[in-house]
Amino acid sequence: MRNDPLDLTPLDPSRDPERWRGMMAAVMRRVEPSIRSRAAVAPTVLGLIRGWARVAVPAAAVMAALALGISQVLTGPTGPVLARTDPVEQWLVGDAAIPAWLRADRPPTPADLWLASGGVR
Amino acid sequence: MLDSDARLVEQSRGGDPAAFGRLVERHLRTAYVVALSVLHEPADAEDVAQDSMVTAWEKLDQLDDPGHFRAWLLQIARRRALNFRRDESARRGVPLELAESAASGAATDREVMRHELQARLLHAMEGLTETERAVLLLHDLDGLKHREIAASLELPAGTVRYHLFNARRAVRARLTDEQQEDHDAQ
Repeated sequence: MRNDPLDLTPLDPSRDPERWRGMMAAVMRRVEPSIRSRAAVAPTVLGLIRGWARVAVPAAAVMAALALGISQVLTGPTGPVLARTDPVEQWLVGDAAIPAWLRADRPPTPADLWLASGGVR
Repeated sequence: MLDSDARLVEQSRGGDPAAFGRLVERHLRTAYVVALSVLHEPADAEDVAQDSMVTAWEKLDQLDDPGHFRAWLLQIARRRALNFRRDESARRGVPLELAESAASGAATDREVMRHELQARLLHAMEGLTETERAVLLLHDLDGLKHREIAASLELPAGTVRYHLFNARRAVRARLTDEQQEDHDAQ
C-alpha cells in the first residue's frame, strides 16, 4: 500500500513568499517595542552584583550572629574562672586563703578546725 | 552555526528582537499547521499562528526549559485555535479574503485555483482526528521528523507513525473518491 508523503503544498502559506514575510513582519511589529523596552532595562553586571548584595549582606549578618551564638555555647563564658569555683578550690589555689596554722607549720587548734569547716569566727 | 532555540529564547529574554525574529521564522509555520489541524480554515489558522507567536513572547519568562520552545509554542497555538473555534462556532463558508477580492474582481485564476485545492485537501482531511491531522500536517507540510513530532505532541514515535499511516491512507482514499465522482459527473 502506498504511504509516501501527500502533496499538501496548497496549504503552505509560505508558498507566497511576499505574503509570508508580511505575516512574520506583522508579528514583529507587535512584539518589537516590548522586546526593545526590555533591552533598556536589561540587567548590567553592576546591577546584578547590587541585586545579589541586597540579599547576601543581611544573610551574612544573620549567619555571623548565629555562628557567634553557637561559639559561645560550645566554649562557655570567658569571665573570671575563680568566680565560679567553690570555697575549697579557692582555699587551695589562693595564697591568701591558706590558714595561719598551716603557714606556721603547727597543728590546728579546735578554733582553726572550726574555721576550716566553714564556721564563723 | 545554527543557534539553538534555547539560545534564541535567552537572547530574546535579554531584549534582542533579532533573536525573537529568528524564532518567528523558524516556528511560525509550525504554529500555523497546528492551528490549521484544529480550524480547517487557512486564513483563521494564519491569524491564530500570529497571535500565538505574540503570546509566546508575552509569556516567554514562564517557559521553564527554553530548549522546549517549539513544543510549548504548539500548546499555545492549539489552545488559541480551540478558543477561536469555540468563539467563532458559526463559521463563514467562503474565506473572507477570497470573497472580498472576488467581489472587487481582483481574484486571479491562480488564487481561485489555490483556494479550490486547499478546500479539496481540507475536505479530505475532515474525517481525520485532530491528532491525525496534526501529525499529517507537521510531517508532510512542515517537514518535521517523526521524533520531532513525537516530542512536540508528547506522543510515542510509534504512535506518530501509526497516525501518519492512517491519515495518509484516509486522505488518499477520499481524494480518489472525489476524483471519481467528478469524473462520473462529467
